[in-house]
Amino acid sequence: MAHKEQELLGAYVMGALGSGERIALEAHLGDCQECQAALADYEQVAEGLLHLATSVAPASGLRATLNARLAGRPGNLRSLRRPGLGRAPQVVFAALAVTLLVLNGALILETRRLAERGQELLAQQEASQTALALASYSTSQTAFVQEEKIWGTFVYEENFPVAVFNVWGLPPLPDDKAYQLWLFNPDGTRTTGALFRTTAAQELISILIRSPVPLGEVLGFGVTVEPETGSPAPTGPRIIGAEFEHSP
Amino acid sequence: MSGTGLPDDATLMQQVAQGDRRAFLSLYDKYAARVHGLSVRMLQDGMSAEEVTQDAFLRLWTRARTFNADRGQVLSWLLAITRRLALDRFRLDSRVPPPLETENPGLDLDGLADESSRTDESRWRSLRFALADLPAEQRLSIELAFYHGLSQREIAEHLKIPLGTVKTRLRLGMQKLRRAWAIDPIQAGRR
Ligand SMILES: [Zn+2]
Repeated sequence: MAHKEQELLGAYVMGALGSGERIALEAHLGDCQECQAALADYEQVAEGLLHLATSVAPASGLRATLNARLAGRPGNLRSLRRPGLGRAPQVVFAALAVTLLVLNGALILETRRLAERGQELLAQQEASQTALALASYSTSQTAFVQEEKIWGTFVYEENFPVAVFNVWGLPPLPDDKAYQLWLFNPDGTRTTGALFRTTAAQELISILIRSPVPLGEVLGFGVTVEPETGSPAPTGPRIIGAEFEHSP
Repeated sequence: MSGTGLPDDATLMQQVAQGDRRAFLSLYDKYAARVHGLSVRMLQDGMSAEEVTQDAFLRLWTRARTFNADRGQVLSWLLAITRRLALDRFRLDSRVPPPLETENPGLDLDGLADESSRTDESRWRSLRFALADLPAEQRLSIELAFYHGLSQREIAEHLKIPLGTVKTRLRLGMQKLRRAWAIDPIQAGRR
């Protein structure tokens, strides 16, 4: 007899479960091969659903528009590393390296300032320490984000599954809401990187981000406002976010 | 479409990852109508759909390196990106979910014929029949979840029905689709 959890798999592959159900299901899936096999079936169904829409030719100008936009872009400079393929040569563009040095210096100062203020809880310390650790890698990268009065930096290293998001100016939320940070996967799905809140007193908050995969496999991130316990997939508007990309 | 001497999709993707625009345009010519079809189906608005289609192909260009041929086909990867972009677009526009009627997806099978191998075509076709065969309320719940990104709770609110009813509809509907997929002869032969 199939496990009861399998009843949820259909909704799960469509991203329709509430977070409580999703977390419980994922915990079960981690240990249960039978349900994993059923999940694989449901994933194929979900993939199949993508293929059912009737073809519609886009306006003929789109091809030319895209071609023109591509001409202005140097293609994909980013070298994504996958686990198991070994490390790519540690070649960093000189300009980028200089930027990172300056930036890492600023980051260390900022992190120290944070620690000195002594106002932060353990989570903040953990984030600060991770930021410091990341700053010591010359291959660490930073994505800058700005949205009106909110701005921040997302610091990561492609081979690590942890990162730090420093953000200024995120407004405090009502008690039943929280900020949820999403990591964008190449297959279009979103993974929760962190769930957090801010208080009026905090101008700056550093969030430790945990990713199931090295950040090099993540395409970007976004922050949305969600119910305080989080959502299985983004439901609120995106407050701030960025795609991870090398500047040419 | 094999045997025509054209490079296969995985090869084209490698070339795109190297910045080869001709390879990109080959993939565009092959799949633009499929991508746009999904955008239109989801957004039901030509303007937004075109933007999503454009974004999806820009992602193809910038993300070609992240494509892993072992994990599936280029088209599925591209359509998954398109779905995600369309769902983002919904949220950005704070759109209300679509009207309650659902187009019967079994009516038009022509769109499946192009550009896909016969194997895939038959799998999608049987899935499409299975979807069309579902009781309307099950199909609607699945469409709201999959094509419009609503959670079970949101579907319940939208349809003004109890959450438990939504869960049942999604479960029964998806179980039937899974079964239809499993008895597909080609699919069965792979097991
Ligand atoms: Zn199980």
